[in-house]
Amino acid sequence: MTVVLLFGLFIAFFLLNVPIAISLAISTIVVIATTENFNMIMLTQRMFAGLNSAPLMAIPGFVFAGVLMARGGVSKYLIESLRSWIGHLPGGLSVVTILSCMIFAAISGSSPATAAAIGAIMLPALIEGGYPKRYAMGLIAASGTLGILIPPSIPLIVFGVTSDVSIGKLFMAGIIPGLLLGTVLLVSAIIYAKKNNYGRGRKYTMSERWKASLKAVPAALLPVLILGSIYTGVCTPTESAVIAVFYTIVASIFIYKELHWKDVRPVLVDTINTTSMIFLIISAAMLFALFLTNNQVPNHVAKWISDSDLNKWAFFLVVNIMFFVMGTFLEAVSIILITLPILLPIIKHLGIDPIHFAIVMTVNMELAMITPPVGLNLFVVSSMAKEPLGEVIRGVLPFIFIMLAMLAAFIFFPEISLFLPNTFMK
Amino acid sequence: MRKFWKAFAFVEDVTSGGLLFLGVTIIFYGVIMRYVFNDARSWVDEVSQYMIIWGTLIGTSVALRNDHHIKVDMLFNAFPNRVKYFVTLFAHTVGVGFGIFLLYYGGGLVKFTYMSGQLSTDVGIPLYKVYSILPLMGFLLALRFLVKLFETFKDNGQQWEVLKAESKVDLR
Repeated sequence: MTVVLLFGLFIAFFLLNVPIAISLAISTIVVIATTENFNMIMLTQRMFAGLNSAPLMAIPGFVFAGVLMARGGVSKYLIESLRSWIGHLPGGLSVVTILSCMIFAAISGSSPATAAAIGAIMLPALIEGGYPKRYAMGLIAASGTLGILIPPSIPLIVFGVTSDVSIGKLFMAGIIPGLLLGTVLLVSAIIYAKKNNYGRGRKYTMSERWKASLKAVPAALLPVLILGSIYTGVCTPTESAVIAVFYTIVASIFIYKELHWKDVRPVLVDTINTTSMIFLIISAAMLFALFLTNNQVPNHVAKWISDSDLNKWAFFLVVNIMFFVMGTFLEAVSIILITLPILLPIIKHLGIDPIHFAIVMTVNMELAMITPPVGLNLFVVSSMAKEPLGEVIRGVLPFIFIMLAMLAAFIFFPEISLFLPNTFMK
Repeated sequence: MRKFWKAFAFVEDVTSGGLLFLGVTIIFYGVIMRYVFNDARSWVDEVSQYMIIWGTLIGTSVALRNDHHIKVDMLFNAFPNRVKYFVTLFAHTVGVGFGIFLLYYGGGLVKFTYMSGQLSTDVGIPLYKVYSILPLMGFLLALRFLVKLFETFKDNGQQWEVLKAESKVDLR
């Protein structure tokens, strides 16, 4: 009963424009204060304790690295080099867009950051190359979502911390699905461009190509450094995030010479804006989780599930519909934190591998980034292109269908997600 | 007055960003010490985490100033302007309430850990110092929400409408 009250309050608050994190915190505080005999002082302690975990420190690290990448010229030279090789082919510019999103995704753990960094350069380039603006916007919003599937990934870090699954394994599980989804996007982009004869950029000379590629080498090494340092066992994901930060700082100052003193404050503020937003949600969700365990909600749910004979596929269907609906108005981290404590016992009971589930959930969260009314990538692209949200939504629609098809594939073939972690991390 | 808020924002930005950067640097130092000098430093985890948490929690007020805390706008956008005005007043008031909660009960936590003299596990920092971020964060959030409340309120929402129309959409 109190659970219903809590959810009711939470929904009422966020519909009335209270920030999501504060809606979650306040509704939990109100419910606990009125229905339970709980020391309010310990609630604040809990908010702090929820953040006090070493794996979570990877989030500021990867956010920071992403901000630096976008500002310090690293992403610019990466794109320029890809463009010099394939920009002149049919569909070349859209291929460049998707490939650079994939590489950026292997450095940053956030989708809107990926869409913003690549879109800032590729959106004008695509339009100049003759692509319809609507398609260009949809392409960037959609391929930007790869940011959270291809490791590193902020939602996977949050998933790992909440469910006690190794973040290294989760990252590894995201690699094949990420590459597959990227490939499908590439194929669709090439077919589309060929049909309409779009996107022949200028052809570069061989010497220009080598010059551009040489400049991109330090940037291209970064994903190798991040994943390599995690999988050789040298570093935790948190430490590899921090190494990425310092590597990018050194590269932007000494190689690209694009980071100056005047950039220090904007870079720090960008990092703080995103990290603090996420951390406040996590901290608020800790109160919510406390409430759930106090009321033994996960236990009740687990019991209810084992009494009913829900099968695995029905569960996937229900959960995916739920994620899709929640994803239209909430963002990834809050969805994971609100639903996972309740879903974990069910997953265990049905014998679903949590790593497989994490990937399915992440693809759902990608969809959440591009489904209206609240889709962070839509916001990023619409404010970047100075076009109304509706226009971006029309552009992104075909990509939503592609991603739904891939989501089904990832659900029915767990091996796609599990092959790498099972082979290399046993 | 304008100058004061500008300086205030500067101090907020620099302390929150600086602490986060310092925390990240300490983690980096830990990695270097471990792999280059084979010398693991036990204090690194705890100190770096406290610094990053301090930075990000002070940063909640920075993010609030920059409108970075994600909100759900769908119902809000459908409201007529007059309703929007009252809903905004309500939302900011809830925000002030949240800040006061943290200020009051976070302060209670600081007092409690001060009396009991608890220390952190690895380094032995008095926990009341560590937890003093909670009332500080509450104070900053309450202040920031009060400013927003005042700005909405002052000319009955006239100027607010203009600002709202000009302001950019929330990113991230």
